[in-house]
Amino acid sequence: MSSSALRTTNRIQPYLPLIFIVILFGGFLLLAACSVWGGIDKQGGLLYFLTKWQAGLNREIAGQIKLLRQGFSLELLGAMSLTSFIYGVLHAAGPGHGKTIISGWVFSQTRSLREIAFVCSAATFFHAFGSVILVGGLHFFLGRYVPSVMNHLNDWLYIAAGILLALTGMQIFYAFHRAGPSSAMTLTAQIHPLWIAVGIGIVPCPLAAVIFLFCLSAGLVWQGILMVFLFALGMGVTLSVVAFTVWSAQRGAVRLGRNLKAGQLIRYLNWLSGLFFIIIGVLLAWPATARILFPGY
Amino acid sequence: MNQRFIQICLVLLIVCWGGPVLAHPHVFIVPAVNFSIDGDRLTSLKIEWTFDEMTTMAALGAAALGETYTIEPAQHAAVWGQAIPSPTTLTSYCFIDLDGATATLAQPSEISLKVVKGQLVYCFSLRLDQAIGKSTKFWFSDQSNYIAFDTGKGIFRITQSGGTSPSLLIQPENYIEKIILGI
Repeated sequence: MSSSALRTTNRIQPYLPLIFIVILFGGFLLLAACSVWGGIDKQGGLLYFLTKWQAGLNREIAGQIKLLRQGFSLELLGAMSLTSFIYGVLHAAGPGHGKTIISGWVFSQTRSLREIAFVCSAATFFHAFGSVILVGGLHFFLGRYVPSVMNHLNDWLYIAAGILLALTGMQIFYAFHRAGPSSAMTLTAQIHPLWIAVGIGIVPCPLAAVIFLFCLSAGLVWQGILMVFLFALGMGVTLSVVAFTVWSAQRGAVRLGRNLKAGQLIRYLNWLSGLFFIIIGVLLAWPATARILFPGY
Repeated sequence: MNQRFIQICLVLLIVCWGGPVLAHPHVFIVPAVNFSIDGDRLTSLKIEWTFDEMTTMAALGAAALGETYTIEPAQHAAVWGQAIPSPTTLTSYCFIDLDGATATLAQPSEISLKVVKGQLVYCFSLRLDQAIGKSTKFWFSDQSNYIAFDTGKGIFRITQSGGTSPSLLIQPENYIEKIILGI
């Protein structure tokens, strides 16, 4: 290699992590946009097998609930619990808003593992038990489950989640401009973990709702709550693994970019995450908004 | 840059993208298709989608559990929603390929809804008038991946009036199970 090429390589080297993270975020946004507009065929090998397994588990769990309705058995309850947990793990393994939001948050912030664990647990439990509260609430107030009312409530919750995330993005932009170029590190304190947990969890999980409703209709109330709890636990495990991997990657990026000022790197990540949250918020709220504004959409 | 770090980031990029907010499957459908062939022309497809029990209950309420009944046309509109596609959107889940060329499907007709042993069955017909070439591929897919089609468990038949009966097989192609008619 010539000496000028070596000098260029040396000059670029410290910025590689930054360039890589910009491409990574750009990739997230591009894929998100393309998939919403139907530009990407999402059937990949992993998704194909995940879907097959989930179809089997869905049948399995419905069969087990019906059997339990006929007569209580500790063995059956144990099998159902295990099925629910595995279903939760696999259900969260496909692409979804929770992983995207948590990845964006972890990537752009300097957060402890404790805070990340809190967000993962809180988000999955809000996500799963939000559905239980909705289904239970409908039974309490209307005396029965009314699918159309549930659909309307879901739409409004999607809009709320989208607004919440877009506000998170705007909050980051506001803090970014207010703080000025010198105080980059202080920006990380701007997004409270609870804000993120609510942003992810406010959208009720349709599958948790259906599992609970199925149990409720079979007269199995506490068993339904237990199934949803284990389903949420499974989802939480997957979300935590993803969040931990993102956290490791982010630490790796900061370490590799040590020749850059750490504050500068975090600052760029903050700016990108602001944009990221606004776009994800819009993508999340749009289908529900369209359904309300244009019935039959 | 550390090769392991790049690998981790690439895996994350694939796993974490989340534009399709509900990209993981929530609704499971086992399809059945009856291909009507007149001579060498494919004239119509009679399709039945059998929904999983949990989705059926979410769409119809607890009254559907274990029951068998017909849903009157006047009540159909109350059933359409995110999980149960309305007739106007049905063709966005159905795809046909005739010797490598994609054919356009007409709007569905003969729409009916019933519940069989607690499972919603959605029936509709797609009219066609296409010559069957060497290979005709038909498949179901949801771009958002919210609805998953278990074509491998489906039932597929040919109703033939005249001409040679084509072969019929189910084959995965790019991880999508396709129904292939061949002469």
